[in-house]
Amino acid sequence: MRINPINTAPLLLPAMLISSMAWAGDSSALEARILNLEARLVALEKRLATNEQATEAAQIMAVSSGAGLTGGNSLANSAALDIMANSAWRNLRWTRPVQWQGVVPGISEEKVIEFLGKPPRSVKSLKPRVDYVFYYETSLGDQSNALSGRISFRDGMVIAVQKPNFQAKETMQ
Amino acid sequence: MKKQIAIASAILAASSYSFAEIALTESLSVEGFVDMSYTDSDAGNAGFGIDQVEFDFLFSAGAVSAQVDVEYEGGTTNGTGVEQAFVTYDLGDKGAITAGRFASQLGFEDFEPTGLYQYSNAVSTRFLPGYDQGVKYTTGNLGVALVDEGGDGQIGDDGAASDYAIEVAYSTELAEGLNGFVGARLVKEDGAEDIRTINAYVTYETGAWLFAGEIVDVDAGTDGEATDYQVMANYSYSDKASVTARYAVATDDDGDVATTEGTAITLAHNYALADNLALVAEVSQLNPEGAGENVLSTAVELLFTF
Repeated sequence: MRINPINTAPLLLPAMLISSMAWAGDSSALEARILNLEARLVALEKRLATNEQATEAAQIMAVSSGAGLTGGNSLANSAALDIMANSAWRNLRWTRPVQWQGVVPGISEEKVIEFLGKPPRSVKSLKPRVDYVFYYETSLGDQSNALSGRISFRDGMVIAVQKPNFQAKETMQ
Repeated sequence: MKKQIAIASAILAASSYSFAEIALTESLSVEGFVDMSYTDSDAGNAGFGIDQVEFDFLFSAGAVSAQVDVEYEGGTTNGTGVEQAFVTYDLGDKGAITAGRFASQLGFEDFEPTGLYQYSNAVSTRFLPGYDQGVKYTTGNLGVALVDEGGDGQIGDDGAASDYAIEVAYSTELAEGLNGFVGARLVKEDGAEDIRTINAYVTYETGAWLFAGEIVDVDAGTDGEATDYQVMANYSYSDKASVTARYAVATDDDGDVATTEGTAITLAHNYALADNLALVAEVSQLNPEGAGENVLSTAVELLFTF
């Protein structure tokens, strides 16, 4: 029998049909795998960002408490992270040196809050030429190791700035 | 150790915004002070003790804020109590409404020792109101309050000895460093004549100097009239210390002589050991209007804020 389009057609058509169906199945599976991988990548990126933030916050706390995270006390580290998690409302952007660059005498209280966030503690000053003072502190009790800065105001404007000692913090780390 | 010179703060004093606080949560904070003193006078009643301890709890969430001040006051019958408790709803550009128990808007001198320039209050402040329960509307530098004057907790014709009071206050900046305040209160009482109080003061701040003058005029009809006033000068001679001189007069216009009437000269020295710790020394001489002898009194006060 000679091979010609007429007698091969009955064989070729089912083969092409089966092949195209298989290809379509592979394509949708591949697409699903890509989507799945992309979703996992997004999830991993989110976890990484969260962990980086938590690590930074824990390092700040560790410095303020005078203990490194590598001290082997995983319970303490865990507790520190718990405290940070429960104190998430405290704005910690003041712990970044770059945030203090714009805090200079003459700027308004609103600007200070814009740069550093609301202070954890403030005091109505009893000094005659100071109205009130903003304290940015990681610890109230341990002044020797704590990261702390203070800003004095008069008539709503900054008159004095004492920045945190970031250099000491880096040395301790 | 001073009143905020921005007099608008007097009108807004019952708002929950505060410069001094320890944040407990995102919406709740606490502040306060401890005030103790040693006093002595010609009358021979020397003594040392806690004058006042106060905790102020401040709540703020969006347009709603609230404040509760709990205090212990030495030498009083009850000792501990709620000094203020009020809620404020911020209407944005349209002002704010406050309801509860809050301080009067009248008076140059602060209600708390943390805002005074001396240990004692001037004798001229004897007829100024204190804390009342009611509602208040504030917008800009204007404040209007309707309060229960008698302290019986009811505004209106409830048969109590006192009914209600209307209070209006306004402040403005007259020039650079020069501020003015004027306020009035009308008390309506059942079976008694109305009591009208007018209060005005000006402050002028230049360099390390602060000057203030205040007048309090009270008219209670046949029950009497009084015109009291004070002038004060404060000079900050360093970052930590200041001296204050005050001359105050309290005299009834109808000629009746009460024990609080007379003139008083007061000298005070404030020294801040830290931002939140100050030592105040005061010498004051009261010259009674009646036949009594002059009374010299001294005080040393230690004040701690948090």
